[in-house]
Amino acid sequence: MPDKFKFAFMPSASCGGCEIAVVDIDEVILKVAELADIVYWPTALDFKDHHLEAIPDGGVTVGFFNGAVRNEHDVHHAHLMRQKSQVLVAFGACAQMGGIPSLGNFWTTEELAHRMYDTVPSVVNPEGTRPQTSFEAPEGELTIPRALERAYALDQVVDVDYYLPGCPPQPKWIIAAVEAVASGELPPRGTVIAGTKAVCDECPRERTEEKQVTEFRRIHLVENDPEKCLLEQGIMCCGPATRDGCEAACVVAGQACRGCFGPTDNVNDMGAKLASAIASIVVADTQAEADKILGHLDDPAGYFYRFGLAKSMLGVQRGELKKGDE
Amino acid sequence: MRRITLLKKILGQMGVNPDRLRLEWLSASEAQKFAETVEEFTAHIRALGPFPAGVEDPAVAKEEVHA
Repeated sequence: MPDKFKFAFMPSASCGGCEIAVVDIDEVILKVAELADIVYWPTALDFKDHHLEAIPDGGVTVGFFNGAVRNEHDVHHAHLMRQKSQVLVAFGACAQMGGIPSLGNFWTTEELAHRMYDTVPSVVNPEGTRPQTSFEAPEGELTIPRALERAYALDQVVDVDYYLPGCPPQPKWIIAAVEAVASGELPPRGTVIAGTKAVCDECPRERTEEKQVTEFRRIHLVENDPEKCLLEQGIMCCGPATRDGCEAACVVAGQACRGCFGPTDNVNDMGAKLASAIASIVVADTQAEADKILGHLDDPAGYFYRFGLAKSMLGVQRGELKKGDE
Repeated sequence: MRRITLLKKILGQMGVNPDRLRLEWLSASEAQKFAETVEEFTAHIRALGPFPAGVEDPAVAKEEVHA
């Protein structure tokens, strides 16, 4: 029997949901254990950096990296995983596109720190104490990594071979990826391992193709008709620009699609595509009508780039305005 | 018009002055008005000045992530 495969799982700026997704494949995890040795998985076992550093370059068959790159230590981890892994997979929306952590890119790191340590209502910090990256303790110097100026998607830091999208990735696609590795039949490099169409294409809700919205309503403030397209009911839904493969799980459960699978192959910029799709269903003949329907949206950029602000083509340009000025 | 309305809002959130984007309706026969509109918008953009580098400055990114 040939040597077993070697898998490594690396968390970075993430919530831990991707790690849960790994065990969410249920009994298939036993097959994974038959197929591969897990040589690094700090969330599950007491692995440290030096364990991964000790592995020869290319000694990991497949490295799964979840979370955005948000601090210096994440940068180190990204390069280390690339160096050690023959195949590097961006696992989940944060590694793929920056995810929720990249919504912080609307502000500078200093502004985020000011909010977190000075102005949050539950914070009392009259001396303006901030965490330091280094501290001289009696036992020696203690350090924590410095935060970067923004959050990055993994492929903005190192080359990535495959993407497993989702928040978190769905068991069936994780299994598909592992099976592809096991069979040696890997898809072309750069493939996003999920569907190829839009969430709307697998959404069971009924569409009339005559979307005419005169008012947007927030999903928690209205009763939505479970049979009808949410957009046609004036409820913001990211289905039109979002890659399928989730079986429209959120929409089936009565929630709008949030876009966690990222854009479909033929969409370059998810936010721009969604803005275009959303605006096109609005019925407005005059500027005043357009302002009335679209002008009161609280946070369109945050909604349309919810999982992918780090990958927006425009990027947040903070030179001219601050968020909230607009 | 609907798209521009929404796009201006998004530009504002992304830190780009929405005044840098303008939509005007002009017919092919309105040469005079066309010229005036372009000149006025050009002057407006000049007054706003060059686009400043923001948080997502590629030079900063390169240094930070050693890509």
